[in-house]
Amino acid sequence: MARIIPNENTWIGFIPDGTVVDQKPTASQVAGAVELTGYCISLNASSRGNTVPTPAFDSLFETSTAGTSAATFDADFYRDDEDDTAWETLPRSQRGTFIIARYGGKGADNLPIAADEVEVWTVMVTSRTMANMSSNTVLTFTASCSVNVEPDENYVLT
Amino acid sequence: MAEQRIKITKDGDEGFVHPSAVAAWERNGWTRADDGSSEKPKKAAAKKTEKEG
Repeated sequence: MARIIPNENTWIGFIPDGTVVDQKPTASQVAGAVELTGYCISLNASSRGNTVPTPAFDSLFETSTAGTSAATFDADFYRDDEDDTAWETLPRSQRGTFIIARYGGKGADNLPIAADEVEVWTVMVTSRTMANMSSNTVLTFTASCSVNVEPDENYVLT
Repeated sequence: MAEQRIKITKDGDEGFVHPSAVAAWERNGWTRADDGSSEKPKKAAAKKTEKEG
């Protein structure tokens, strides 16, 4: 067991819409993904659940029950004047599936291969926003996405 | 209005991408499918049909 940072560990790729079926990408599809690891600065792929209060007069304890769940997905990437892959891959309204291997894969350069565990997030880019341009600051942008399908945070590639 | 999406292929897999994203995918080994199956905006397609009719 080790506590790790994402640098040189995490791998992030994006597969185009229509390729992944039922949230089950194959290892070959992941190998064909556009890799965005080298452009990513930060990633927020998180889910949250709602609890619904269910109090009653017969108790001072306020009970609750499980409600709906939702997820958010947004990430910050670098622009690049020679190879602007992240910016060009994620225009507004682009649909696709992000593959995130937080601990990396066993393939070359942390590429996830069969039997590796990854997160599968099928999304649609709702905005692609440049960060404020300021002196002595690298150009970056934020891609915000809607999460169209319930994410699978523990998918094992086949 | 719906965006036009371009069909691309790689190693037997197919996918659809935004027209402005095609170059980035081509750099990654995907090729544009020119079989006419790219998805066109629905409104534009409807207008064309009206004119033809």
